[in-house]
Amino acid sequence: MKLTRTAPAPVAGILLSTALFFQAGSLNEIAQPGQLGPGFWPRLALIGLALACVAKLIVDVRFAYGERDVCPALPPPVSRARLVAGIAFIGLYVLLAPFIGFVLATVGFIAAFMWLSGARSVPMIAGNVAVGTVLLLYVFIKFVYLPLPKGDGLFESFTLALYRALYLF
Amino acid sequence: MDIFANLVIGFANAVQPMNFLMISLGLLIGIIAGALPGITMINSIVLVLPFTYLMGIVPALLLMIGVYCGGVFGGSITGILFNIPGDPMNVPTTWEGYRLNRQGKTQYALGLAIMSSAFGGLVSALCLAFFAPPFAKFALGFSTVEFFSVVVFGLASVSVLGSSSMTTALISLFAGMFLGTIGTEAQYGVERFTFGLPFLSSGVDFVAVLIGLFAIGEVLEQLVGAAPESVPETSVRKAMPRLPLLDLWPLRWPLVRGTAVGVVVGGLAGAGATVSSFVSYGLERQVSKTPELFGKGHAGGLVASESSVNGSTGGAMVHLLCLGIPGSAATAVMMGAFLLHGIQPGPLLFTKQPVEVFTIIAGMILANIIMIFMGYVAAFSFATLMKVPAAILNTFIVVFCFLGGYALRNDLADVWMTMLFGVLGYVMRRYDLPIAPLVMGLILGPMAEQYFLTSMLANQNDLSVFVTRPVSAIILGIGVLLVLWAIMKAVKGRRSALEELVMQGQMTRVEEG
Amino acid sequence: MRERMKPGRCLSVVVYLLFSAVLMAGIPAEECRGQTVEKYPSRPIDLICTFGAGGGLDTMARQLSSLTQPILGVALPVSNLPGAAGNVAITQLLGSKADGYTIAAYVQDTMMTIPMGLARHKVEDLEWLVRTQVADSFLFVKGDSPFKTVQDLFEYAKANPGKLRVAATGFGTPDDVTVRYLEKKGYKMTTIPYPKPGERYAAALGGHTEVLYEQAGDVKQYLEAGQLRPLIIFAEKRLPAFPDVPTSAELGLSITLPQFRGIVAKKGLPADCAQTIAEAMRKAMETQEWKKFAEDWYIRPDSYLGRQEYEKWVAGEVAILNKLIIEFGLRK
Repeated sequence: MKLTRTAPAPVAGILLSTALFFQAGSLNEIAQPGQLGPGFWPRLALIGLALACVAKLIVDVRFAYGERDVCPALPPPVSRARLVAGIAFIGLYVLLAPFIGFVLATVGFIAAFMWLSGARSVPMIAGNVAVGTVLLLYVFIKFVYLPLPKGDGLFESFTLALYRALYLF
Repeated sequence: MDIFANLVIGFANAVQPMNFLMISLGLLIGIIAGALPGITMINSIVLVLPFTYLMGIVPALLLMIGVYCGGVFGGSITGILFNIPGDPMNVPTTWEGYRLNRQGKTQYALGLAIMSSAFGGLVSALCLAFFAPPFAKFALGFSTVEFFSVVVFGLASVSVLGSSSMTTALISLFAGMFLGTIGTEAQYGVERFTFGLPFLSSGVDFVAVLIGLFAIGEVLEQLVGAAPESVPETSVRKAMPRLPLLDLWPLRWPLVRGTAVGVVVGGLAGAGATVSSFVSYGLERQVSKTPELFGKGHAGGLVASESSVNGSTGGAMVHLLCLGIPGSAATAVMMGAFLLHGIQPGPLLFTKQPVEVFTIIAGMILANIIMIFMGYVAAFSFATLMKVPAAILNTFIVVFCFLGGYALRNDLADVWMTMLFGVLGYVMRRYDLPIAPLVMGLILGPMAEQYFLTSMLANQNDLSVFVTRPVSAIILGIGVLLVLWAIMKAVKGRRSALEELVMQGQMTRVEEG
Repeated sequence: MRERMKPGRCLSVVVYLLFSAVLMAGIPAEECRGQTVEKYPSRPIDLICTFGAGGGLDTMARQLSSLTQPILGVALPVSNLPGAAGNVAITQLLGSKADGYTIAAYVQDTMMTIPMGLARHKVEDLEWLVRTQVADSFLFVKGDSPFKTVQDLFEYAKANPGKLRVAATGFGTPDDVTVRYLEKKGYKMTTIPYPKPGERYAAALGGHTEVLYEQAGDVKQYLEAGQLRPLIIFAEKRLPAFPDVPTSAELGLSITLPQFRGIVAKKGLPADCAQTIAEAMRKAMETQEWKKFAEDWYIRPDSYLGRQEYEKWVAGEVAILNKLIIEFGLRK
């Protein structure tokens, strides 16, 4: 009887793979006669995906109308607010890094995520922010030469000044 | 006998204090760099490259060999401890090792990883010493047809069979294969499914996907407090790896099988280590008496995949030294360094510069022995991180994932990809969808595509080449046999389960009556 | 828990102070910079390698970086950003500021995507700083191949159209265009794409393809071991290193698509910045190390081209390829 809950996913999978299958047709325009072309393999994968989704649907239907009602256990309850906040913090981290620079973004992120994960002691957060960021900078800029985002405008000059002060350049 | 004499000279070179120090230093750098996500093995070899310019030829070679052997192993430490596979080849190790760790068997898992790595590496270095030139000749006989068969074997044996739900596993597998086609196709240069987004033109990098699915997914799961297993109290003392010589004895067959697959497959395909780790893991699952324990902390799977990863180093070196063909970016950088030091890898190397070659081989043998101790020390140091409160650890794992994604191509697009797949990884865990087939499809799918298309082009679209070429036919044949065997076992298992159900039903009916 | 916090707190305070001190120390440096006009270059220049580590372009970029560093006085760290035949890196270059602190190593394969209509940039989008390497392409066969001369090869191809297989980097590449050109001349062979160099060489060495299209420097070890033999060089005149190998010009084939590598920046960077980098690289190319390096890779001695000539030359190459690609129907 849980069909309303389980069916939408495979149905969406079937629709999506069908749409992509036709979209892939245009890929083979570049192929010369006698070549399978760049559209062949994705189409194969999409056929497989669609068939697997159909199979899943059949299994679900048989399950729903079957005699044995062994529906899978519901996942344990979770804190939805923390999940949303966690994803938001991670998203903001990546979003802001090119604008305010890796250093500031990391400082902000470490503080925010540690707080979210349950750390409440300010010195502990501050210490981790400072030690962590400086260590990371040394390893990844001085030794690995990773050109991490420096930020834009004012932030770029800040990042550069910080790098100079830390003798990273 | 020539080989023995050369080996002796090689060892005499390698054990001089300065040279010995270089191997150890290289190993240390390799292990640490391999363990830190964000520093790939290529990074670390490029890192030591300028220093090798200043050295003599022997210490320079040994330093790089150390970094290489250490780097291949290093990824498994963070894989086991934090569920972050350093490289695609460490993925099967991570599947089993992290579960073992969560069950409180951290020291057992780390110890097994160290020992089986060293064993695999040692055997493959010995093979390199004795059979390199004939093996190289043998390896050249294989074309994309055989490579395709090997990859299909890996795909079939791991991803689908033995998983709890066949249909969801298949969905996951094909979705992974499809994701692998996104981006710029290699043969024609056309963009596939990028929808005009520059973001997608470089494709879905599987390392970004791996660290996202595994590490970020895990962090999110812990954040919301839905981790399926409670973390047992692991004190540092308990997390300290021991050297489980005795533990390894019951696992001797997985060890031998893994090493054998590593040596053979590692010498065949270009991306040897990754393919061989999946193939040996898959093989292990097929022949195992307890396949249902795979993915839940199966020591045999860990041992097989880890020994085959290091077992493939010898094969990769055969390619590099005898053929001058670097199988991976890391060995390509090494080849560049060899050239700079006046060593021309290629068919003439073994006859023209035997001393250098056997110094390299002796270095590999020594490196794998020293690795037992180095790996122990490194694993111990990393294990102390387990004591760090989860709040700090998880935060820094996310930061390292940022760096790891970024370091792939210095592109924020890969970081976005990492984080997006992190969310997907969380969702898949939450709704109990199998992640392993997705990863397999993503890593092996593009390889299979390339090999298949090239085989078809080179053989006038004649599908029969896969069965008319003997080696390919044998590989596929073994694959089919294993699959059939597994299906038979599954059917048998299901029947007995069914019989049990029927029995119970009769029992209840009897009681009712 | 409480016991562990104490030293942690002390440490964190110390580090916090250190951190702020470091921040303060940064301020005077910044002020100094504001007062005087900044001398270029005053910090490391990111050199993006548009292909992966270990390849020919990467080797070139790293060599050039280490030789240019003492001349410019700043480091030029090389970072690899492969993808879409170099287009991923060029897109990133074009998205960065034209301040001379981001430059990229550019190779023929990337240029090829312009006439193929697969590129995300045009010739005019880039500042062509310096052409560093030109390497001629060859057709190679296995050492024990029955084809002793290029005439043998072409005769066989004429008698058995499409039977010979040529290992190439991909479709729509200079390799493929050359094969198509030969097809138009009556020598039909089949392009088999092997995007990874290692697989390409293994295919030729293992006899899975009969012919290999490649530059000589990349297969030096097989040439020396006699495992591969050059049959023809696609160039105007013979190379001193291969006096016996006939050129395409001698055979009346007018196709030379030499592999080239160079350095580009985003268009619009200050002229004096461009001049500084180009000049430093020209000097680097005059060092003994570079000359030895170039010789090892069978690079043409007249590879250097300065800023204006380089752009003109590239535009000419694109025009030629554009014509060929349309003629052969490679672009739809």
